[in-house]
Amino acid sequence: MSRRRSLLAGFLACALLSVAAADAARLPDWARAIADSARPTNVGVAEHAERVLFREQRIEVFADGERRIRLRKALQVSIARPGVALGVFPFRDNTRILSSRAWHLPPGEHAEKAQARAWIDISINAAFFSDSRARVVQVDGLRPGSLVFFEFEAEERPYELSLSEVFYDDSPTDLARLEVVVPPGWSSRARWLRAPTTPTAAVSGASSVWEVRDLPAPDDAPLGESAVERAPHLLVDLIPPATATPSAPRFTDWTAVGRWFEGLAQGRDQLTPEIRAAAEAALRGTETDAFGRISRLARFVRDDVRYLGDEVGLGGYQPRPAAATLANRYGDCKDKATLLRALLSTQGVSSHLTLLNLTDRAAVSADFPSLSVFDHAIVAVRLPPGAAVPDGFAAAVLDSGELGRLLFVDPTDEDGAPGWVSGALAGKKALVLADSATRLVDLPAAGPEAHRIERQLSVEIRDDGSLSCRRISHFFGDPARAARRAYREDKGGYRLELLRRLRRSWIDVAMQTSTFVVESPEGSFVEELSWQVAGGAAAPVPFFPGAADDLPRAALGQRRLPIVFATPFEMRVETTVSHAPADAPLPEARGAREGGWVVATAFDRTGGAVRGRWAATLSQARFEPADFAGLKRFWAAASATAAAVLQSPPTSAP
Amino acid sequence: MGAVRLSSVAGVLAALAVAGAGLVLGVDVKDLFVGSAAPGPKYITDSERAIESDPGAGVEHAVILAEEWVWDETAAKGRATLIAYHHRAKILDNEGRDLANVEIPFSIDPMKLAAWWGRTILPDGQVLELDISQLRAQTVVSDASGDERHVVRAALPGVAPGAVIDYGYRFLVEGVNSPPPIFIQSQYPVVRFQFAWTPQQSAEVSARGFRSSYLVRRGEHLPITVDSRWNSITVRGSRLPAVAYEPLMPPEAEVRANAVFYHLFGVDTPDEFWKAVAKKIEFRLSKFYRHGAVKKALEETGAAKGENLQAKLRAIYDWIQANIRNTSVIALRPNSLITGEEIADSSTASDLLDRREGGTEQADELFVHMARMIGVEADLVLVVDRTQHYWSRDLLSLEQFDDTLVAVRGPDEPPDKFQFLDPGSGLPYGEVRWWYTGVKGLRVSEHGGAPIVIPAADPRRNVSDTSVKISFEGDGSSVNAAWSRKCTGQDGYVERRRLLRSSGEERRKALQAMCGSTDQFEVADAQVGDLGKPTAGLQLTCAGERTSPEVAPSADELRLIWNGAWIDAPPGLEAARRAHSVVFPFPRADLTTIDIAAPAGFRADPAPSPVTVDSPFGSYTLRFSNTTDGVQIQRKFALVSLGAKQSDYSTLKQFFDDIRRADGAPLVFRRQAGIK
Repeated sequence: MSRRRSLLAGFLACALLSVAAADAARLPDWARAIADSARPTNVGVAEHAERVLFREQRIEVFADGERRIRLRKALQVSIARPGVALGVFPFRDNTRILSSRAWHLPPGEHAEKAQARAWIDISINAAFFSDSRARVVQVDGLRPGSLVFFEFEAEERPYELSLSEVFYDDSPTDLARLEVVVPPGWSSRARWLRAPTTPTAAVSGASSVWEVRDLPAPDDAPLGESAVERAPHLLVDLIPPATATPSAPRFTDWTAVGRWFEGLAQGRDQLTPEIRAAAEAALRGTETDAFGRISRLARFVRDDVRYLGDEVGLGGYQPRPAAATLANRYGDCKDKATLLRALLSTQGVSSHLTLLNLTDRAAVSADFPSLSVFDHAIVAVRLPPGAAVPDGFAAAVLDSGELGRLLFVDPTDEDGAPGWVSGALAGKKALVLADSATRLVDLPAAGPEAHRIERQLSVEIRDDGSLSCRRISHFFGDPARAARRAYREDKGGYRLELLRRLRRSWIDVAMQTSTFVVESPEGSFVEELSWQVAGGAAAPVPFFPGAADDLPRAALGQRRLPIVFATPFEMRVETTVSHAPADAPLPEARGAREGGWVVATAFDRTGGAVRGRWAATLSQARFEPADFAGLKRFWAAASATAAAVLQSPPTSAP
Repeated sequence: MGAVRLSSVAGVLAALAVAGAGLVLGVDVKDLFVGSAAPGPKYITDSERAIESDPGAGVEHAVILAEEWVWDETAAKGRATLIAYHHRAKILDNEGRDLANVEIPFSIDPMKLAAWWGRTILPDGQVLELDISQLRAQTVVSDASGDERHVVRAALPGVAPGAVIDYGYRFLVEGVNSPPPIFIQSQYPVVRFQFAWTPQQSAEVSARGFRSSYLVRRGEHLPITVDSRWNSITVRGSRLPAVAYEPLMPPEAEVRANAVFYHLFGVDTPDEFWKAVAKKIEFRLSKFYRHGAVKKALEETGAAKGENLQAKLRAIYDWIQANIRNTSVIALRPNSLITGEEIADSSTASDLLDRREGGTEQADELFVHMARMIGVEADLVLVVDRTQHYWSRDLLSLEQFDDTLVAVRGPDEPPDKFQFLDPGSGLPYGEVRWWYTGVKGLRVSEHGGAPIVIPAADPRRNVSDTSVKISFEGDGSSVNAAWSRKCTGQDGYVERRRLLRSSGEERRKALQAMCGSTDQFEVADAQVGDLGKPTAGLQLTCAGERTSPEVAPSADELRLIWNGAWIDAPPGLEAARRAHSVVFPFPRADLTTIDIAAPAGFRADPAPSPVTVDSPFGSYTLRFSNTTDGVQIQRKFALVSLGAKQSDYSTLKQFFDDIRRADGAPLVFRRQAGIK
């Protein structure tokens, strides 16, 4: 990817520099009106580098379902850095761009300048094969106070009639607007997925207009929803008359959406001798229990088929044949899911392709069927009625009613173990494709016990005053995914990070051994460390070194956005200190509990050893700013209790 | 002019993008099969089979078994360039499989490749071929003129850990296309590397005085050889280790073996080349500046009133700082330098002085002229941004340089005693942006070009002076800290410039970060001093609350970790071994005074013993004293070195470990009866 970025940058520089020549031109009326009413920029430090004064997307729908799109944008520059503005219009191969224009009105100047004839189209998608591009027009020579106007016009042949508009820009926006014009006899209905505080809508004949004012600058913060996920999002359903035959389908219910996908996927899961052989090979020598077989096949697809995105045209929706994915040993999410379904069917296990949105939790609205809301595919495995679900799978099982119990498996998630639903999926609406029984379901969202770290630490105080330590950690669920990813990407770096964390407690730590099991039979990531600390007993011995550091945290002081943990979470540490002085005082057991969390420690003596237990459980995953005080108390309680130490025997204070 | 940027793929593409990549038809097919870069065996050899993952030895995700290039500018009787490439690799784990996602970085029609092969050889000996018809051209960029650039992509099938992939291609491109700079080493170990360049040798070229040359850099201790003949240059490497990436390492271009191929014209030696460059720049400088305009401006500076040479120079310096607005958007991190050509094309000195604005380079040039007019030897110094790369004297290319400085020498100073100045930088007189220091630059004068080391600043000029007050909330359940910091010299320079260019929103976020906002420290107040004074140092005022409580082993004892965001802690060097040298931004001194008020009802233990740590890299002292209401800590840290050699790593690590140990020792407070 880095290679592509560098060459892109080079081309951008070359191509855009040629735009510098400017022609004198009049501003179009729409831009002139904005320019005349624009407020002068403030003196002093501007709050934002630029401000979008106006952003309008106008979509005119034709009787055949095709569209003409016009995007207009006006922005005011406060800080000319680096002196250029880019107008960007994303498009795919089903779009033909008709025109691209830009105008620059420098402050205090009467002459308007147009830079309309130069543009470049660049590839913008990270997928290996992709048709996603963006038309880019650059305006340079900006100064504080400059007004810049962009206008793009295009024709699009859509894959479905409904529209989806996210009111989002990189800068604060005074007015954002969507206008939809439908042909005679057509109508529309709209629904806000996330409504702004003061949305307005106006219908005049064939035209409907939705406006949002005063959108803030996007603000992303750790442990939170992205700015796009929080932006107002409008869905518009375009309803043709019964006699119309537009080229793109309109979906009246989720079953229709499912049928469209299933039509594309039909036959793609066809069994071949190679698929049967692959299933046999994957299951050879393994247990015969149904869950074991499902798990084995899911791991085969997850591990042996590399991810490779192919998002060109209809290929963005249609899976490759399972046989091809198997032969190539590569594919994207829908390819891998289709192959897994085929492999499962060799064992008489039926399953369903399942669609969801990986990036936006609220994108799928139960009463607004659409296909463009999906960007990920997984598999729903039908479980036999009455079969007992093992503990390691319960977190991924849902009783869906008519389709019975479904086990959800994501064979694209290279770091997730079958039996867990990752935080990126948990609780989201997903469409299970099952012909007439197609239905939206809420994916299982497991409790904190499914996403936990269990740690046993044994510390031996040696005669020479050194400490000999051994620690085994089992990571489950999302913590396991994170640990696996970090370890696989850079094993040396992972070890160094562990050492860095230990050195927060003991600067003179000497690592002895470190071994890792990437995926244990029960799906955990296992980390086993041993180390020594010269002279470590001279200072108080920490019972739970670094435990609080493993809790996900973020600064709250200036934060205005909710904290959203990917999943609930639990951490347990049990520490045994052997050869501790018999008269060393035990810390007091402490605990705290509130609505969404609990923290507790306990200590005792067994024989010559002292034992400490620490547990922190966060069962609430979302904290609004009003709840921050409670979250802060959780973190403080966790830190305070995890800081417990085994003191040397008391000495008289001076 | 941009620096030479090394990239094995982007560079290749850039080279062809300039020349155009039209394929030559009707070429004798034997022209396409010269040199090496041929397919490897269709089986896994015994030695390949024996390769296994060994992360501790730098062998992790994959091993490049062969990377071979043929770059022949004499193909088709000199009308075309033959480019051939061969890549063979063993995949060791799933993370290494992305090597099978092939990208041919040339804008060519895949069906017009003269040769293509791509195969996966599985551990069981099965060979999976990827036919040329599977190659897909993907548009990268297109423009209004109809010009379109694309890459060719393909995914090799069946790849699994243990498999060997082997692919390659050949094609002819019209005209002569010089090879780009290339990396010899990779992020993976490389068993065999070869780049064979056959430069154009036509009579016309020879008559014009061209000859071909090369430079291999950072391959000194590696098994890299060069076979240089009259008509070809071949660089070979074998058993090259993967490049290690470490914190505080030199820039990648200085630790990763690379090669540059180029044509020389009219000069034979580096001395001749740099002399010619210097003369050219001097000539253009003299042509550019109009004496009259500069003379008038010099009068404005008040330099004539200066009591001595330094005062006169300072007057000129200050006048430029105050009167020539720096329009360079790259002043903070330069990436371009106006070349001699551009100087000739750009405005005159009169224009610059009329506009009262210009780039950093123009400020330097103006300073040179003014200084010369008052009788000071003043020269431009071409410099490199050492966070990106160093200057290589043997690489005969002006594109290496990123910016300019000024070297001045009084008439009574020894010949080699130059003072370096950085007009237009926003730094006080006598200080130079740190990324240009500690490495060699090129001083250009009417006598020619000479290498010169731009020394790093004395640490006493880069000082941060911090006063901290720490207090406990109630009985110690939370800790509040308030501190103010004054920085001089390079300390805070980059941050200050960044704040200057920030919007209000960006500034607030940056100040929060500078005051140490983390998940364990909530910043309540973050302010910066006056940013309007061009040469003033950064002044920061912060206050916040530590959200991770102090250790309270019992109700009667409290242990305070007194360090925090107010201490600029030395970097944590965790690894026991080091592959590269360590590089710091600049020498510096940190002075910190911390006043701690004991929590209500508590009294501090007697002051701990002072700590002193000395090393070749700097010094550290920590002194405690009991005060009426608590403890005062005085911490002094000086980093006097710009870095450490690999062989000195353990000494440096020990120095930093000793400091971290001292900084991490808690202060103990005990509950006292009768104290409120």
